[in-house]
Amino acid sequence: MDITDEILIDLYKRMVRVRLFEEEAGRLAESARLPGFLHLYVGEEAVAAGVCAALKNEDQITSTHRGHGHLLAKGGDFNRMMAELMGKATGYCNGKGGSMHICDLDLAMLGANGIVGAGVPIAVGAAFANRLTGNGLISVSFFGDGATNIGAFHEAANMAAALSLPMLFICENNEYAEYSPRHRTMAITDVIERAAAYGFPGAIVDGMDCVAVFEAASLAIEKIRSGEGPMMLECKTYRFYDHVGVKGTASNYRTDEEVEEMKKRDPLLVHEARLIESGVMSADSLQAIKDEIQKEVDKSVEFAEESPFPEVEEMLLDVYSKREPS
Amino acid sequence: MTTVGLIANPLAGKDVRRFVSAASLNSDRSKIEILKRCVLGAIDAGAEKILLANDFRNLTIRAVEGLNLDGKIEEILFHPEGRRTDTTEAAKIFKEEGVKSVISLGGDGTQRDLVLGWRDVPLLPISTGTNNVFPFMVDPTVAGTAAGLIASNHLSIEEVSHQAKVIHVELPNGSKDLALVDVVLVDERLTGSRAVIKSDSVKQVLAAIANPACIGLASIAGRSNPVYFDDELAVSVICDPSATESVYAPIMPGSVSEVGIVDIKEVQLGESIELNGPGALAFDGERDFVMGENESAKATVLRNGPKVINPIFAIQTAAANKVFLRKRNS
Repeated sequence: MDITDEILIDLYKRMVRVRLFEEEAGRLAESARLPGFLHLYVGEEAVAAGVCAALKNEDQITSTHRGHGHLLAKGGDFNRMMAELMGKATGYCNGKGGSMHICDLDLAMLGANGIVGAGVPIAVGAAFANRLTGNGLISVSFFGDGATNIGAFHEAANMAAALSLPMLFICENNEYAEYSPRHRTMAITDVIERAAAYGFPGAIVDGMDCVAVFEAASLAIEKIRSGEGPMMLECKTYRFYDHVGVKGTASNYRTDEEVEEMKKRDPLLVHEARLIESGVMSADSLQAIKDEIQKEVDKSVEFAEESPFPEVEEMLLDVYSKREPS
Repeated sequence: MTTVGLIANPLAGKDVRRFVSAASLNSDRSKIEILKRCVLGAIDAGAEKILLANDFRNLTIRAVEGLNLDGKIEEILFHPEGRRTDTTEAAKIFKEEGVKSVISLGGDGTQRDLVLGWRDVPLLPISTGTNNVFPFMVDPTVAGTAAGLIASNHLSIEEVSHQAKVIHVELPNGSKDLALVDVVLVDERLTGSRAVIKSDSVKQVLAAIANPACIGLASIAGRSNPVYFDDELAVSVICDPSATESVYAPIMPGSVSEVGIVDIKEVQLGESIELNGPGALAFDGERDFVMGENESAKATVLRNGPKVINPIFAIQTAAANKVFLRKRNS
């Protein structure tokens, strides 16, 4: 796929949408205006942006407990998202799911998931349905390196491979499973070796570069859509904030120096430099994009704060989907 | 001290070409086993010390675990960051430490990174990459033995090595770079995932080694006008999808593409060749530098590269010299 100026700008906007929304959510959480757990995706934006830009709108994705980035990169709505984070009735899950259960079936986003690794078999199910109905769609599961130590991942990978399903596994390898460095929980360093074990191809890409991710994902998606079975793309990435919140309770598992070093490879800065150097956009127009998106974020905070909480009577609604007997 | 340097690129053989070709995955485990065999071969051949360049996956460290070679293994003081420059920095330290031979695991790109740090390194390159024109596919025990025989002065480096050619490139921004196999101009505006995948994007190939039996972009030149390691020549091929002549070349493992050929020119060592933008320059298969409309790079091929140790020839020479026959203690 030729990477046009439009694609380069689109990738930037997707990343900025994630970054500014999340920075705002982080500030709100720090000032106690936002309840519950908040797992920020800041630093990993190039992965969600690069992959989602390469998908059709109808292709399904499943997400992690760090799921804001995936939904926003697929086109999620700021208002409904911020309202959900604040537990308001206007939110994606009517205020009853919170950060870790955001989903939007209209965007084929089958849900964030509070259980590590649990999104992977859901994507396998979607891929199986795509295969059975012959709709030409693929499913994508985003998961972390730690998730691949969970049984659900292995069952899902085996089934996807055995049935040669149209599915793309996206491993966001940020080197830490919550607070545990990768080398203390795994004897391998590259998760794609697990793809090879189940009999499908995997490749590694720089997850801090949205263009590299987009290009690699596009190559895989084209093959998967043409019936070549599942593939895994491992994106080497890094989260700039703590496992939970902005500065969590267990920050001694990595050094400030390491974080600062990785921030030099901030995916937004990498892409901004490219856009300016290649003459696609000026620094002023990049700032204009940021200003415009920040306004949308600010409006979403107002919208969420002004929205009502769900009524107590609604507490047990939406637990199961409504389905007429066939 | 009779020292062998040992280094491996953990990321070699793992890029996106696994999606679009029949390239296989080179796992960490297989690299560790290769490294282990190299170490054992080198020690057996008389190397007194193995100097390990640690990498961000600890491949070399893990390779010597449990070998009981205390006193013969040393790590260089070095903090790998998981980037290409790790290999280059390690090469500089090998040079400072005066190692007699270096075993390097990787593909063409890895060997290039090493040579960026030590241009005329005494090198025994072992292929664990995707495209492996430069490194050898050889049993690692044999490779380790060959490197060990040189380090321990059972063989002289001059006797069993040949100096490689290097493509020296002056970039439009004034900086300098190099390649060992090929510099290729491709019709791309970004470096992206770095690998060159689209055969119709190739505009020009300058190859110092153009072996028709190789895999990679150099095969375009190799199947048009072969130039071998020892030839005092390079070759430049101008490509265009609309050309009336073409060549079928495996630019990736198992992936043979038709490439339109406009012009083929043999290039003398020392002669300069222009590569004119716009486009991206790929060094030994990896897009690394983007040139604008009116920019151009100047490339010159010289024979001043690494002293490449041929492991098979080294072992055969040693055997002919009766090096392997030892007196038994009675």
